[in-house]
Amino acid sequence: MPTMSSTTATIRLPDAGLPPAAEALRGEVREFLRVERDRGTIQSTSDAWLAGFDAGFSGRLGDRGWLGMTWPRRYGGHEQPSLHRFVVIEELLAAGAPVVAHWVTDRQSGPALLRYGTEEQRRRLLPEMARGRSFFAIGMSEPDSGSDLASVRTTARRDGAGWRLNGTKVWTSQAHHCDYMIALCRSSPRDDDARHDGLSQFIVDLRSPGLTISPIRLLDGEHHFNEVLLEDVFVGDDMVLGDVGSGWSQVTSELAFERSGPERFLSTLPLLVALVRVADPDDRRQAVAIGQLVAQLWTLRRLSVQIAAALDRGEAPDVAAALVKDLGTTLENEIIDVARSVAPTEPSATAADPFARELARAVLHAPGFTLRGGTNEVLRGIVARRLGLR
Amino acid sequence: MNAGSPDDRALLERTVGEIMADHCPPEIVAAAEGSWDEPLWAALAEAGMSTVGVPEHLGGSGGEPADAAAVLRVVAAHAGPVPLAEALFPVAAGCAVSGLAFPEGPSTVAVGPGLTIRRTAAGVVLDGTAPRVPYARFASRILVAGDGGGDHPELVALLDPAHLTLAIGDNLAGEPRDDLVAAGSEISTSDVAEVPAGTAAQLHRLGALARAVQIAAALGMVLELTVRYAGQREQFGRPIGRFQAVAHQVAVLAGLAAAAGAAADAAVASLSRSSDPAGHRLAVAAAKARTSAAAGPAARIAHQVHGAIGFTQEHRLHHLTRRLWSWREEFGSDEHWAAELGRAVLTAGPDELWPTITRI
Repeated sequence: MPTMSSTTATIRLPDAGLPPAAEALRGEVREFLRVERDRGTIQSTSDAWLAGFDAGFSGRLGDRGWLGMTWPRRYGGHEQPSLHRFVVIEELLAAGAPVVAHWVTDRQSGPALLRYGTEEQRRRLLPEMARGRSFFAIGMSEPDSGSDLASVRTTARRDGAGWRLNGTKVWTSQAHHCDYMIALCRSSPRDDDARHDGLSQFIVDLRSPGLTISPIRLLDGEHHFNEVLLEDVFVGDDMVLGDVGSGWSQVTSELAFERSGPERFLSTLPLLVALVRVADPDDRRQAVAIGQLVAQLWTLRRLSVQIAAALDRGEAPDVAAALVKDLGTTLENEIIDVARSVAPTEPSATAADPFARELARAVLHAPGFTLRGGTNEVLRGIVARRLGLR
Repeated sequence: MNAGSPDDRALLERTVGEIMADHCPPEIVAAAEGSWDEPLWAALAEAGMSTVGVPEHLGGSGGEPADAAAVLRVVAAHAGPVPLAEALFPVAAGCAVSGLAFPEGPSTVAVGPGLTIRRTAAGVVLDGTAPRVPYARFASRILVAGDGGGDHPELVALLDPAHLTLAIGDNLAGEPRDDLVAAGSEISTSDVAEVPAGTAAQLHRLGALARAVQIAAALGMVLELTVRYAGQREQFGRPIGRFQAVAHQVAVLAGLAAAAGAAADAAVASLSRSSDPAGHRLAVAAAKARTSAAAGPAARIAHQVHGAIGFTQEHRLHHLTRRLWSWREEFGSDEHWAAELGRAVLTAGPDELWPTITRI
């Protein structure tokens, strides 16, 4: 007879709370956000972590010591516990604050540099990143490489004391505003029997000669994504990230940072807040629909705290992280459905009614929720594999 | 017992797991339908597992709510046909708040808005109906809680079901659920005590918390059975779990189970934070709403993956799925608790939504 053993152990993490010091920090962050809201820098709109680029805001966060929080002091970091960083980011996300400028830099580029960068790279690049003055973009996807990242075709060819990069990167968020892109390239020819070999990562200055950035507009016309064309772009040996040929293992560990955070269920929280503003507490149907959403949101946040605590203990809760992303992005969409049913409104970006504007924004951004950071189908595959099915 | 640490809890789970392996195979669960399994209850009681989380001065084994939840989780995952959920949560809390001694035999709780209970010179007067009291006809004592009626204080009483009128019934899994019907009858008892206003509602809430823990545990086992079956059953020359469509459904089931587990655990933890009773109320509402809402879709996936064999009496899957379909309604459905949570959120207003979520 089966016991509550392997499967349960795979998906189940111990309940966790946040330490009192982290909760105290929460108060400071809320006060900071109140001031920012008063000065009009926070619009509290859905999907602000994709679309809200404000270098000044990121700079003020850096000045408060809320970027690179966990990094060593010698690289400009603040050596804070990771659970403190968790509190800061969940408060920023819940507020719909414009975090885009530093988002990738703080979440994955910095940690990747800390893990794989040379001492010289860390000393030169990390302090400005932690100050919120230097911003990084991701250079992984290509026109023919979405979920299947090992199929990247951008090449890196040896040239004297460096490399020449040729190829095209796409979906490069905010490349038109950022300073650097960490590009995954094929540095030796593809071997079909070992397709994960021969990949390397390069830190590319986005102002390099031979590099052309052009917009890929979202369906609502907004410009966040770019195509980055690399034509004989030179990258010196001092800007190789990690070991030549180890790109695959480096990016997969980087993607783990991308998957587990509260951004995976908070994208439409501003719409839910707007819904609470217009709903009627005495209407039972509305109360039930909103109560069900709040119950899910609360549950996912508790799971997310569990994951943060597990990461803090040095564990790698990849299945739980994949599940949160799957459940969370589904909830982000469900919030839209409930909003439509509880408060029927024609969504419009030009409406005077803020609820109609918020709904419009959420509807038009929703297709991205279940794509970015690994499609939900890829994530379900990861979960099934870890459960021993595939 | 000095339970409390995660290590102690793991030991507790192992102890209960061994008892369940010995005393609660699927045949026992099947045979207990419309009844209960006294030997299993006796084995759990013998090991002190029927009083975990009950303060020692009331005759319990001591420990925290999380310890009681750990015991309940293992028993529920095996579909144990015993009134443990009721004893470990509402009855234990009712005894703790009233100072009444925790019953030695199997006990359960009768609570509901239709029940009033007052003290008179002759004894306790019970009026109204408490529908579907778990295991009432097999309990040695029923903790009855209800409205004091008018200006009277709220009371709880431990009653012997032999003196009560019960209308026998069962839930979908054959677990006893009897209506307690009282028409102003005087019941002689010394086991009656005055309790703070709101106690009856709190005992109902703890019943919901216990069901949330049971649902989460059952979902964990349903996932376990489903993963196992999908890995073993071969069609078209390979295990059905290799088919992407099936694998993805199992991954969805894993998500439902993981979320239910997190919700139930968090609600149990909220019980220990006595400084925030309002937060505890909302946490239980959220946990029962989430676990109950997950029960249906999870059972649907499990049955779909198991195919026809899972739809038979022969396979044990239904011991869990019929409980899920029952437990999701008991002590308030997902809709009931979502309404309570939604009303609280809407009354507090938009600026309090996120602060509430991070507090509870």
